[in-house]
Amino acid sequence: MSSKVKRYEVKVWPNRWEMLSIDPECMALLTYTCITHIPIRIKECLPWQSRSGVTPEVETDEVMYSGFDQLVRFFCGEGFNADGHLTAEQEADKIAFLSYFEQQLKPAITYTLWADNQNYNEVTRPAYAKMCGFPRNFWHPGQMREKAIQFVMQGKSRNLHGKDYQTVMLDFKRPIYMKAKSCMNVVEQKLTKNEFFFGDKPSSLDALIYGYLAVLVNAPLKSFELKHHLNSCENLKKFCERMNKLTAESKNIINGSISSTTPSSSSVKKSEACMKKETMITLGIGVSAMVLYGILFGIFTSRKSLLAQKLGTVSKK
Amino acid sequence: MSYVDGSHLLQLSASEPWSPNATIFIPLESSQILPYENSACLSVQAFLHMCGLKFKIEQMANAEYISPSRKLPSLHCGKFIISETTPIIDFVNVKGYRLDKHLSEDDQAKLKAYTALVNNVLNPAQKYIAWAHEDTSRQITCKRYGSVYPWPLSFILPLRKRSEMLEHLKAIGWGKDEKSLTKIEEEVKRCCTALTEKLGDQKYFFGDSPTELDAIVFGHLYTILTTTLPDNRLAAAVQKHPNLVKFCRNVDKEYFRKTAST
Repeated sequence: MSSKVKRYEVKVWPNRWEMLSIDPECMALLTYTCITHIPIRIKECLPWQSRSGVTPEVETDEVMYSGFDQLVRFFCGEGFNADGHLTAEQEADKIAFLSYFEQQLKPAITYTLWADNQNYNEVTRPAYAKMCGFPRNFWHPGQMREKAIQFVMQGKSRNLHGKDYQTVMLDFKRPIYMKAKSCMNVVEQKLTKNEFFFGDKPSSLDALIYGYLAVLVNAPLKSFELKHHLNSCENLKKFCERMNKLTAESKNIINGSISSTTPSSSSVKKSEACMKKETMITLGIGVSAMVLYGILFGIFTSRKSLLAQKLGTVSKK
Repeated sequence: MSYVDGSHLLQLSASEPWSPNATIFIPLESSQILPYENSACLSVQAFLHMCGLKFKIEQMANAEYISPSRKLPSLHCGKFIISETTPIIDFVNVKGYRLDKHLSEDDQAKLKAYTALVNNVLNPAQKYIAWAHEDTSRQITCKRYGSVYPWPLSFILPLRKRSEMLEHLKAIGWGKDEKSLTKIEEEVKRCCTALTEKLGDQKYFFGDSPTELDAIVFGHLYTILTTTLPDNRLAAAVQKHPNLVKFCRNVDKEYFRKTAST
Protein backbone atom coordinates (compact mmCIF):
# COMPACT_ATOMS: atom_id res chain seq x y z
CA MET A 1 0.00 0.00 0.00
CA SER A 2 2.69 2.46 1.05
CA SER A 3 4.60 1.82 -2.18
CA LYS A 4 1.69 3.37 -4.20
CA VAL A 5 1.79 6.64 -2.18
CA LYS A 6 4.58 8.98 -3.31
CA ARG A 7 6.95 9.37 -0.38
CA TYR A 8 9.29 12.32 -0.20
CA GLU A 9 12.76 11.47 0.99
CA VAL A 10 13.76 14.06 3.58
CA LYS A 11 17.44 14.18 4.48
CA VAL A 12 17.98 15.40 8.02
CA TRP A 13 20.52 15.26 10.82
CA PRO A 14 20.12 12.03 12.83
CA ASN A 15 17.85 11.89 15.86
CA ARG A 16 19.09 12.36 19.39
CA TRP A 17 17.63 13.12 22.82
CA GLU A 18 14.20 11.72 21.87
CA MET A 19 13.72 14.29 19.12
CA LEU A 20 13.15 13.50 15.46
CA SER A 21 16.37 15.29 14.62
CA ILE A 22 19.11 16.97 16.65
CA ASP A 23 19.18 20.09 14.43
CA PRO A 24 16.49 22.77 15.18
CA GLU A 25 15.81 23.53 11.48
CA CYS A 26 15.46 19.82 10.59
CA MET A 27 13.24 19.39 13.65
CA ALA A 28 11.05 22.32 12.50
CA LEU A 29 10.65 20.77 9.04
CA LEU A 30 9.81 17.31 10.40
CA THR A 31 7.24 18.92 12.71
CA TYR A 32 5.74 20.61 9.64
CA THR A 33 5.51 17.26 7.86
CA CYS A 34 3.78 15.81 10.95
CA ILE A 35 1.26 18.69 11.00
CA THR A 36 0.41 18.34 7.30
CA HIS A 37 0.64 14.51 7.22
CA ILE A 38 3.07 14.55 4.30
CA PRO A 39 4.12 10.95 3.45
CA ILE A 40 7.86 11.06 3.97
CA ARG A 41 10.78 8.76 4.37
CA ILE A 42 13.40 10.10 6.76
CA LYS A 43 16.95 9.59 5.56
CA GLU A 44 19.37 10.31 8.37
CA CYS A 45 22.49 11.74 6.90
CA LEU A 46 25.13 14.32 7.58
CA PRO A 47 25.28 17.60 5.60
CA TRP A 48 28.33 16.61 3.53
CA GLN A 49 26.45 13.49 2.41
CA SER A 50 23.59 15.57 0.98
CA ARG A 51 23.69 17.06 -2.51
CA SER A 52 23.49 20.71 -1.55
CA GLY A 53 25.60 20.40 1.62
CA VAL A 54 22.71 21.77 3.71
CA THR A 55 20.13 19.88 5.70
CA PRO A 56 17.15 19.61 5.72
CA GLU A 57 17.02 18.65 2.03
CA VAL A 58 14.49 17.06 -0.32
CA GLU A 59 15.49 15.88 -3.76
CA THR A 60 12.86 15.48 -6.47
CA ASP A 61 13.50 14.31 -10.05
CA GLU A 62 14.39 17.75 -11.31
CA VAL A 63 15.36 19.98 -8.42
CA MET A 64 16.86 20.01 -4.95
CA TYR A 65 15.27 22.02 -2.15
CA SER A 66 17.00 22.80 1.13
CA GLY A 67 16.35 24.90 4.21
CA PHE A 68 13.10 25.24 6.16
CA ASP A 69 11.66 28.21 4.18
CA GLN A 70 12.27 26.75 0.75
CA LEU A 71 10.96 23.31 1.74
CA VAL A 72 7.75 24.70 3.29
CA ARG A 73 7.09 26.58 0.03
CA PHE A 74 7.83 23.42 -1.97
CA PHE A 75 5.42 21.33 0.10
CA CYS A 76 2.77 24.10 -0.19
CA GLY A 77 3.15 23.84 -3.95
CA GLU A 78 2.68 20.07 -3.73
CA GLY A 79 -0.62 20.61 -1.92
CA PHE A 80 0.52 20.18 1.71
CA ASN A 81 -0.28 23.61 3.10
CA ALA A 82 -0.54 24.06 6.87
CA ASP A 83 -1.34 27.77 6.44
CA GLY A 84 -4.44 27.42 4.30
CA HIS A 85 -6.71 28.46 7.17
CA LEU A 86 -4.95 31.82 7.67
CA THR A 87 -6.48 35.12 6.55
CA ALA A 88 -4.47 37.53 4.40
CA GLU A 89 -3.64 39.59 7.50
CA GLN A 90 -2.52 36.50 9.41
CA GLU A 91 -0.43 35.42 6.42
CA ALA A 92 1.40 38.80 6.53
CA ASP A 93 1.80 38.51 10.31
CA LYS A 94 3.18 35.00 9.83
CA ILE A 95 5.93 36.27 7.51
CA ALA A 96 6.81 38.97 10.06
CA PHE A 97 6.85 36.57 13.00
CA LEU A 98 8.98 34.04 11.10
CA SER A 99 11.64 36.77 10.78
CA TYR A 100 11.11 37.79 14.41
CA PHE A 101 11.75 34.29 15.76
CA GLU A 102 14.74 33.83 13.50
CA GLN A 103 16.19 37.09 14.78
CA GLN A 104 15.42 36.59 18.48
CA LEU A 105 15.29 32.86 19.23
CA LYS A 106 17.82 31.39 16.81
CA PRO A 107 20.89 33.28 18.17
CA ALA A 108 19.98 32.31 21.74
CA ILE A 109 19.51 28.61 20.93
CA THR A 110 22.75 28.66 18.91
CA TYR A 111 24.55 30.33 21.83
CA THR A 112 23.17 27.81 24.36
CA LEU A 113 24.26 24.83 22.29
CA TRP A 114 27.53 26.01 20.82
CA ALA A 115 28.97 29.09 22.51
CA ASP A 116 28.24 28.21 26.13
CA ASN A 117 31.40 26.33 27.21
CA GLN A 118 29.76 23.93 29.64
CA ASN A 119 26.99 22.90 27.26
CA TYR A 120 29.36 22.58 24.30
CA ASN A 121 31.96 20.45 26.09
CA GLU A 122 29.57 18.18 27.95
CA VAL A 123 26.54 17.94 25.69
CA THR A 124 26.83 19.24 22.13
CA ARG A 125 30.35 18.18 21.15
CA PRO A 126 30.01 14.54 22.32
CA ALA A 127 26.63 14.20 20.58
CA TYR A 128 27.82 15.63 17.26
CA ALA A 129 31.20 13.89 17.42
CA LYS A 130 29.47 10.52 17.77
CA MET A 131 27.31 11.29 14.74
CA CYS A 132 30.24 12.50 12.60
CA GLY A 133 32.24 9.32 13.16
CA PHE A 134 36.01 8.82 12.92
CA PRO A 135 38.01 10.85 11.85
CA ARG A 136 35.65 13.83 11.40
CA ASN A 137 34.79 13.76 15.10
CA PHE A 138 38.16 15.44 15.74
CA TRP A 139 37.59 18.57 13.76
CA HIS A 140 34.01 18.87 12.49
CA PRO A 141 32.29 19.83 15.79
CA GLY A 142 34.98 22.50 16.26
CA GLN A 143 34.30 23.84 12.76
CA MET A 144 30.57 23.92 13.44
CA ARG A 145 31.25 25.75 16.70
CA GLU A 146 33.34 28.39 14.94
CA LYS A 147 30.56 28.93 12.38
CA ALA A 148 27.92 29.16 15.15
CA ILE A 149 29.97 31.72 17.07
CA GLN A 150 30.45 33.77 13.88
CA PHE A 151 26.67 33.74 13.45
CA VAL A 152 26.03 34.82 17.05
CA MET A 153 28.63 37.60 16.89
CA GLN A 154 27.59 38.51 13.32
CA GLY A 155 31.08 38.21 11.91
CA LYS A 156 32.83 40.30 14.57
CA SER A 157 34.76 37.49 16.29
CA ARG A 158 38.20 38.58 15.12
CA ASN A 159 37.83 42.06 16.57
CA LEU A 160 38.18 41.46 20.30
CA HIS A 161 39.34 44.99 21.23
CA GLY A 162 41.96 43.55 23.57
CA LYS A 163 39.41 41.76 25.77
CA ASP A 164 39.69 38.04 26.31
CA TYR A 165 37.40 35.63 24.48
CA GLN A 166 35.30 34.72 27.54
CA THR A 167 34.47 38.36 28.36
CA VAL A 168 33.49 39.08 24.77
CA MET A 169 31.16 36.06 24.65
CA LEU A 170 29.54 37.06 27.98
CA ASP A 171 28.98 40.58 26.59
CA PHE A 172 27.01 39.01 23.77
CA LYS A 173 25.16 36.56 26.02
CA ARG A 174 23.22 39.13 28.05
CA PRO A 175 21.36 40.94 25.22
CA ILE A 176 20.85 37.70 23.25
CA TYR A 177 19.24 35.94 26.23
CA MET A 178 17.14 39.02 27.04
CA LYS A 179 15.79 39.09 23.48
CA ALA A 180 15.02 35.35 23.58
CA LYS A 181 13.17 35.70 26.90
CA SER A 182 11.09 38.62 25.62
CA CYS A 183 10.36 36.59 22.48
CA MET A 184 9.19 33.62 24.59
CA ASN A 185 7.00 36.06 26.58
CA VAL A 186 5.37 37.21 23.32
CA VAL A 187 4.50 33.61 22.40
CA GLU A 188 3.33 32.95 25.95
CA GLN A 189 0.97 35.91 25.73
CA LYS A 190 -0.34 34.79 22.31
CA LEU A 191 -1.03 31.29 23.62
CA THR A 192 -3.28 32.47 26.49
CA LYS A 193 -6.25 32.63 24.12
CA ASN A 194 -5.33 29.95 21.54
CA GLU A 195 -3.93 26.45 21.43
CA PHE A 196 -1.60 27.42 18.60
CA PHE A 197 -0.21 30.74 17.42
CA PHE A 198 -3.01 31.50 14.95
CA GLY A 199 -5.97 29.76 16.54
CA ASP A 200 -6.93 26.13 16.92
CA LYS A 201 -4.94 24.69 14.05
CA PRO A 202 -1.14 24.53 13.91
CA SER A 203 0.71 26.43 11.17
CA SER A 204 4.25 26.55 9.81
CA LEU A 205 5.04 29.18 12.45
CA ASP A 206 4.18 26.70 15.24
CA ALA A 207 6.47 24.17 13.57
CA LEU A 208 9.34 26.67 13.57
CA ILE A 209 8.80 27.72 17.20
CA TYR A 210 8.67 24.08 18.30
CA GLY A 211 11.76 23.28 16.23
CA TYR A 212 13.77 25.81 18.25
CA LEU A 213 12.19 25.08 21.65
CA ALA A 214 12.38 21.28 21.33
CA VAL A 215 16.14 21.50 21.86
CA LEU A 216 15.63 23.42 25.11
CA VAL A 217 13.03 20.92 26.30
CA ASN A 218 14.78 17.67 25.37
CA ALA A 219 18.54 18.24 25.37
CA PRO A 220 20.33 17.40 28.65
CA LEU A 221 21.77 20.92 28.98
CA LYS A 222 24.14 21.69 31.84
CA SER A 223 23.62 25.45 31.94
CA PHE A 224 19.94 26.07 31.60
CA GLU A 225 19.04 29.73 32.03
CA LEU A 226 16.77 29.66 28.98
CA LYS A 227 15.25 26.32 29.97
CA HIS A 228 14.30 27.79 33.36
CA HIS A 229 12.58 30.68 31.63
CA LEU A 230 10.72 28.27 29.34
CA ASN A 231 9.59 26.24 32.37
CA SER A 232 8.22 29.39 33.99
CA CYS A 233 5.88 29.97 30.99
CA GLU A 234 2.89 27.68 31.55
CA ASN A 235 1.26 28.13 28.16
CA LEU A 236 4.54 27.60 26.36
CA LYS A 237 5.17 24.36 28.28
CA LYS A 238 1.69 23.07 27.38
CA PHE A 239 2.29 24.08 23.73
CA CYS A 240 5.56 22.11 23.68
CA GLU A 241 3.81 19.08 25.21
CA ARG A 242 1.05 19.33 22.60
CA MET A 243 3.55 19.53 19.73
CA ASN A 244 5.61 16.73 21.26
CA LYS A 245 2.52 14.50 21.35
CA LEU A 246 1.73 15.40 17.72
CA THR A 247 5.24 14.56 16.52
CA ALA A 248 5.42 11.39 18.69
CA GLU A 249 2.22 10.05 17.08
CA SER A 250 3.60 10.71 13.62
CA LYS A 251 7.03 9.36 14.64
CA ASN A 252 5.47 5.91 15.16
CA ILE A 253 4.01 6.02 11.68
CA ILE A 254 7.31 7.22 10.18
CA ASN A 255 9.32 4.63 12.13
CA GLY A 256 6.89 1.99 10.96
CA SER A 257 7.45 3.03 7.36
CA ILE A 258 11.23 2.99 7.77
CA SER A 259 11.30 -0.62 8.97
CA SER A 260 8.93 -1.88 6.28
CA THR A 261 10.43 -0.34 3.14
CA THR A 262 13.80 -1.71 2.10
CA PRO A 263 15.08 1.37 0.21
CA SER A 264 15.34 3.41 3.42
CA SER A 265 17.09 0.67 5.41
CA SER A 266 19.60 0.36 2.56
CA SER A 267 20.12 4.12 2.67
CA VAL A 268 20.88 3.90 6.42
CA LYS A 269 23.36 1.14 5.57
CA LYS A 270 24.81 3.42 2.85
CA SER A 271 25.61 6.18 5.33
CA GLU A 272 27.25 3.65 7.69
CA ALA A 273 29.24 2.26 4.75
CA CYS A 274 30.33 5.81 3.96
CA MET A 275 31.68 6.26 7.51
CA LYS A 276 33.44 2.87 7.39
CA LYS A 277 35.02 3.87 4.07
CA GLU A 278 36.31 7.10 5.64
CA THR A 279 37.69 5.17 8.62
CA MET A 280 39.46 2.68 6.33
CA ILE A 281 40.94 5.46 4.22
CA THR A 282 42.25 7.29 7.30
CA LEU A 283 43.76 4.13 8.78
CA GLY A 284 45.25 3.30 5.40
CA ILE A 285 46.89 6.73 5.15
CA GLY A 286 48.22 6.44 8.71
CA VAL A 287 49.72 3.00 8.18
CA SER A 288 51.30 3.92 4.81
CA ALA A 289 52.84 7.04 6.38
CA MET A 290 54.43 4.91 9.12
CA VAL A 291 55.74 2.31 6.65
CA LEU A 292 57.20 5.05 4.40
CA TYR A 293 58.92 6.64 7.40
CA GLY A 294 60.33 3.21 8.31
CA ILE A 295 61.68 2.63 4.80
CA LEU A 296 63.18 6.13 4.43
CA PHE A 297 64.95 6.13 7.80
CA GLY A 298 66.19 2.55 7.50
CA ILE A 299 64.16 1.16 10.39
CA PHE A 300 63.46 -2.03 8.38
CA THR A 301 66.93 -2.43 6.90
CA SER A 302 69.53 -0.86 9.21
CA ARG A 303 71.95 -3.12 11.12
CA LYS A 304 71.38 -1.12 14.31
CA SER A 305 67.60 -1.63 14.15
CA LEU A 306 66.20 -4.23 16.56
CA LEU A 307 63.04 -4.54 14.43
CA ALA A 308 65.06 -5.34 11.32
CA GLN A 309 67.01 -7.99 13.23
CA LYS A 310 63.83 -9.58 14.52
CA LEU A 311 62.21 -9.54 11.08
CA GLY A 312 65.41 -10.78 9.45
CA THR A 313 65.47 -7.91 6.97
CA VAL A 314 68.89 -6.46 7.80
CA SER A 315 70.62 -5.30 4.61
CA LYS A 316 73.87 -7.05 3.78
CA LYS A 317 75.86 -3.88 2.79
CA MET B 1 31.02 60.79 27.77
CA SER B 2 29.86 57.27 28.35
CA TYR B 3 28.95 54.74 25.73
CA VAL B 4 25.43 53.37 26.25
CA ASP B 5 26.05 49.73 25.76
CA GLY B 6 24.13 47.46 28.10
CA SER B 7 20.72 47.88 29.60
CA HIS B 8 22.15 48.91 32.98
CA LEU B 9 23.65 52.03 31.44
CA LEU B 10 20.39 52.65 29.59
CA GLN B 11 18.59 52.95 32.93
CA LEU B 12 21.18 55.51 34.08
CA SER B 13 20.32 57.75 31.14
CA ALA B 14 16.60 57.78 32.04
CA SER B 15 17.01 60.50 34.66
CA GLU B 16 18.59 62.96 32.22
CA PRO B 17 16.20 65.09 30.13
CA TRP B 18 16.52 65.32 26.37
CA SER B 19 19.27 67.74 25.50
CA PRO B 20 18.26 70.55 23.08
CA ASN B 21 21.77 70.29 21.59
CA ALA B 22 21.35 66.62 20.71
CA THR B 23 23.31 65.92 17.54
CA ILE B 24 23.22 63.10 15.04
CA PHE B 25 26.50 62.39 13.26
CA ILE B 26 26.20 61.09 9.72
CA PRO B 27 28.66 60.76 6.82
CA LEU B 28 28.67 63.32 4.01
CA GLU B 29 25.30 62.94 2.31
CA SER B 30 26.22 64.02 -1.17
CA SER B 31 29.46 62.11 -1.66
CA GLN B 32 30.11 59.51 1.05
CA ILE B 33 27.02 57.96 2.64
CA LEU B 34 26.05 54.46 1.47
CA PRO B 35 22.43 53.34 0.88
CA TYR B 36 22.08 51.12 3.95
CA GLU B 37 23.67 53.82 6.15
CA ASN B 38 21.28 56.39 4.69
CA SER B 39 18.33 54.09 5.59
CA ALA B 40 19.44 53.95 9.23
CA CYS B 41 20.08 57.71 9.44
CA LEU B 42 16.71 58.56 7.87
CA SER B 43 14.91 56.09 10.18
CA VAL B 44 16.40 57.77 13.26
CA GLN B 45 15.61 61.26 11.96
CA ALA B 46 12.02 60.26 11.16
CA PHE B 47 11.63 58.72 14.62
CA LEU B 48 12.90 61.83 16.39
CA HIS B 49 10.64 64.06 14.28
CA MET B 50 7.67 61.82 15.10
CA CYS B 51 8.50 62.12 18.82
CA GLY B 52 8.64 65.89 18.43
CA LEU B 53 12.26 66.09 19.65
CA LYS B 54 14.66 68.78 18.48
CA PHE B 55 18.07 67.74 17.21
CA LYS B 56 20.87 68.85 14.90
CA ILE B 57 22.54 66.94 12.09
CA GLU B 58 26.28 67.11 11.59
CA GLN B 59 27.84 65.66 8.49
CA MET B 60 31.32 64.37 9.26
CA ALA B 61 33.67 62.41 7.04
CA ASN B 62 34.78 60.34 10.04
CA ALA B 63 31.25 59.67 11.35
CA GLU B 64 31.95 55.91 11.23
CA TYR B 65 34.86 56.34 13.66
CA ILE B 66 32.92 58.68 15.98
CA SER B 67 30.40 55.90 16.48
CA PRO B 68 31.42 53.54 19.34
CA SER B 69 30.29 50.43 17.47
CA ARG B 70 31.42 51.77 14.02
CA LYS B 71 27.82 51.61 12.85
CA LEU B 72 25.73 54.58 11.84
CA PRO B 73 24.12 56.83 12.84
CA SER B 74 25.37 57.94 16.23
CA LEU B 75 23.50 60.26 18.54
CA HIS B 76 25.20 62.53 21.06
CA CYS B 77 22.76 63.60 23.76
CA GLY B 78 23.95 65.17 27.02
CA LYS B 79 26.62 62.90 28.48
CA PHE B 80 25.80 59.89 26.31
CA ILE B 81 26.67 58.73 22.84
CA ILE B 82 24.62 55.94 21.28
CA SER B 83 24.93 54.28 17.90
CA GLU B 84 22.60 52.22 15.69
CA THR B 85 18.86 52.58 15.20
CA THR B 86 17.52 50.12 17.79
CA PRO B 87 19.66 51.34 20.72
CA ILE B 88 18.79 54.98 19.85
CA ILE B 89 15.06 54.14 19.85
CA ASP B 90 15.48 52.33 23.21
CA PHE B 91 17.40 55.34 24.57
CA VAL B 92 14.61 57.73 23.56
CA ASN B 93 11.95 55.36 24.96
CA VAL B 94 13.69 55.18 28.33
CA LYS B 95 13.56 58.99 28.53
CA GLY B 96 9.76 58.72 28.33
CA TYR B 97 9.18 59.46 24.65
CA ARG B 98 7.30 56.47 23.23
CA LEU B 99 5.23 56.10 20.07
CA ASP B 100 3.69 52.74 20.99
CA LYS B 101 1.70 53.80 24.10
CA HIS B 102 -1.60 53.53 22.24
CA LEU B 103 -0.96 49.95 21.09
CA SER B 104 -2.52 46.83 22.63
CA GLU B 105 -0.27 43.96 23.75
CA ASP B 106 -1.09 42.09 20.57
CA ASP B 107 -0.17 45.08 18.41
CA GLN B 108 3.05 45.63 20.35
CA ALA B 109 4.05 42.04 19.54
CA LYS B 110 3.21 42.67 15.86
CA LEU B 111 5.27 45.88 15.98
CA LYS B 112 8.32 43.92 17.16
CA ALA B 113 7.69 41.26 14.50
CA TYR B 114 7.40 43.69 11.58
CA THR B 115 10.45 45.63 12.80
CA ALA B 116 12.37 42.35 12.86
CA LEU B 117 11.11 41.56 9.34
CA VAL B 118 12.39 44.88 7.97
CA ASN B 119 15.75 44.58 9.79
CA ASN B 120 16.17 40.96 8.75
CA VAL B 121 15.35 41.43 5.07
CA LEU B 122 15.78 44.99 3.82
CA ASN B 123 18.94 45.77 5.80
CA PRO B 124 21.04 42.77 4.69
CA ALA B 125 19.60 43.05 1.15
CA GLN B 126 20.91 46.62 0.84
CA LYS B 127 24.28 45.61 2.31
CA TYR B 128 24.52 42.69 -0.13
CA ILE B 129 23.81 44.91 -3.11
CA ALA B 130 26.25 47.55 -1.89
CA TRP B 131 29.19 45.24 -1.23
CA ALA B 132 28.64 41.75 -2.68
CA HIS B 133 27.20 42.79 -6.06
CA GLU B 134 30.27 43.32 -8.26
CA ASP B 135 28.99 46.19 -10.42
CA THR B 136 27.53 48.26 -7.58
CA SER B 137 30.53 47.65 -5.36
CA ARG B 138 33.04 48.69 -8.02
CA GLN B 139 31.16 51.57 -9.58
CA ILE B 140 29.51 53.15 -6.56
CA THR B 141 30.23 51.78 -3.08
CA CYS B 142 34.03 51.64 -3.09
CA LYS B 143 34.29 55.04 -4.78
CA ARG B 144 31.93 56.69 -2.30
CA TYR B 145 33.54 55.02 0.70
CA GLY B 146 37.04 56.07 -0.37
CA SER B 147 36.09 59.56 -1.61
CA VAL B 148 37.04 61.31 1.66
CA TYR B 149 40.55 59.85 1.88
CA PRO B 150 43.70 60.72 -0.07
CA TRP B 151 45.39 58.13 -2.28
CA PRO B 152 46.46 55.36 -1.39
CA LEU B 153 43.91 55.18 1.48
CA SER B 154 41.10 55.78 -1.01
CA PHE B 155 42.15 52.48 -2.62
CA ILE B 156 43.08 50.38 0.43
CA LEU B 157 40.32 51.28 2.92
CA PRO B 158 37.35 50.38 0.65
CA LEU B 159 38.94 46.96 -0.04
CA ARG B 160 39.40 46.35 3.68
CA LYS B 161 35.83 47.43 4.41
CA ARG B 162 34.56 45.21 1.58
CA SER B 163 36.23 42.09 2.98
CA GLU B 164 34.88 42.96 6.45
CA MET B 165 31.33 43.34 5.10
CA LEU B 166 31.53 40.13 3.04
CA GLU B 167 32.60 38.27 6.19
CA HIS B 168 29.70 39.82 8.11
CA LEU B 169 27.23 38.87 5.36
CA LYS B 170 28.59 35.31 5.29
CA ALA B 171 28.25 35.04 9.09
CA ILE B 172 24.56 36.06 9.01
CA GLY B 173 23.78 33.66 6.14
CA TRP B 174 23.70 36.30 3.35
CA GLY B 175 27.02 35.38 1.77
CA LYS B 176 27.60 35.11 -2.00
CA ASP B 177 27.36 31.28 -1.73
CA GLU B 178 24.04 31.29 0.09
CA LYS B 179 22.19 34.12 -1.66
CA SER B 180 21.88 35.42 -5.20
CA LEU B 181 20.24 38.60 -6.47
CA THR B 182 17.21 36.58 -7.59
CA LYS B 183 16.72 35.06 -4.13
CA ILE B 184 17.15 38.48 -2.52
CA GLU B 185 14.60 40.02 -4.89
CA GLU B 186 12.13 37.25 -3.96
CA GLU B 187 12.64 37.89 -0.23
CA VAL B 188 12.23 41.65 -0.66
CA LYS B 189 9.04 41.10 -2.68
CA ARG B 190 7.71 38.85 0.09
CA CYS B 191 8.60 41.48 2.68
CA CYS B 192 6.87 44.23 0.67
CA THR B 193 3.77 42.06 0.26
CA ALA B 194 3.57 41.58 4.03
CA LEU B 195 4.08 45.33 4.64
CA THR B 196 1.45 46.26 2.04
CA GLU B 197 -1.04 43.90 3.63
CA LYS B 198 -0.31 45.36 7.07
CA LEU B 199 -0.51 48.98 5.91
CA GLY B 200 -3.63 48.52 3.79
CA ASP B 201 -5.39 51.88 3.33
CA GLN B 202 -4.28 53.29 6.67
CA LYS B 203 -2.14 56.37 7.04
CA TYR B 204 0.38 54.54 9.25
CA PHE B 205 0.94 50.88 10.04
CA PHE B 206 -0.99 50.99 13.31
CA GLY B 207 -3.78 53.47 12.59
CA ASP B 208 -3.57 57.26 12.55
CA SER B 209 -0.57 57.70 14.83
CA PRO B 210 2.94 56.82 13.70
CA THR B 211 5.09 54.30 15.54
CA GLU B 212 8.77 53.35 15.32
CA LEU B 213 7.86 50.80 12.62
CA ASP B 214 6.73 53.67 10.39
CA ALA B 215 10.05 55.45 10.95
CA ILE B 216 12.12 52.34 10.18
CA VAL B 217 10.08 51.34 7.11
CA PHE B 218 10.21 54.93 5.80
CA GLY B 219 14.00 55.06 6.17
CA HIS B 220 14.50 51.85 4.16
CA LEU B 221 11.84 52.32 1.48
CA TYR B 222 12.62 56.00 0.84
CA THR B 223 16.30 55.17 0.33
CA ILE B 224 15.51 52.24 -1.97
CA LEU B 225 13.13 54.38 -4.05
CA THR B 226 15.41 57.41 -4.34
CA THR B 227 18.81 55.75 -4.90
CA THR B 228 19.84 54.96 -8.46
CA LEU B 229 22.05 51.88 -8.69
CA PRO B 230 23.37 49.78 -11.59
CA ASP B 231 20.81 47.16 -10.56
CA ASN B 232 17.50 48.74 -9.55
CA ARG B 233 15.45 45.62 -8.95
CA LEU B 234 14.75 46.49 -5.30
CA ALA B 235 13.24 49.85 -6.29
CA ALA B 236 11.15 48.11 -8.98
CA ALA B 237 9.90 45.62 -6.35
CA VAL B 238 8.84 48.41 -3.97
CA GLN B 239 7.21 50.48 -6.73
CA LYS B 240 4.78 47.63 -7.43
CA HIS B 241 3.08 48.53 -4.11
CA PRO B 242 1.46 51.98 -4.57
CA ASN B 243 0.33 52.23 -0.95
CA LEU B 244 3.94 51.90 0.25
CA VAL B 245 5.06 54.63 -2.18
CA LYS B 246 2.20 56.85 -0.99
CA PHE B 247 3.20 56.15 2.63
CA CYS B 248 6.79 57.31 1.96
CA ARG B 249 5.54 60.48 0.26
CA ASN B 250 3.24 61.24 3.22
CA VAL B 251 5.92 60.79 5.86
CA ASP B 252 8.38 62.86 3.86
CA LYS B 253 5.82 65.66 3.47
CA GLU B 254 4.65 65.51 7.08
CA TYR B 255 7.95 65.23 8.92
CA PHE B 256 10.74 66.34 6.64
CA ARG B 257 9.51 69.07 4.33
CA LYS B 258 7.38 70.66 7.06
CA THR B 259 10.31 70.72 9.49
CA ALA B 260 12.60 72.09 6.81
CA SER B 261 10.24 74.95 6.08
CA THR B 262 9.76 75.97 9.77
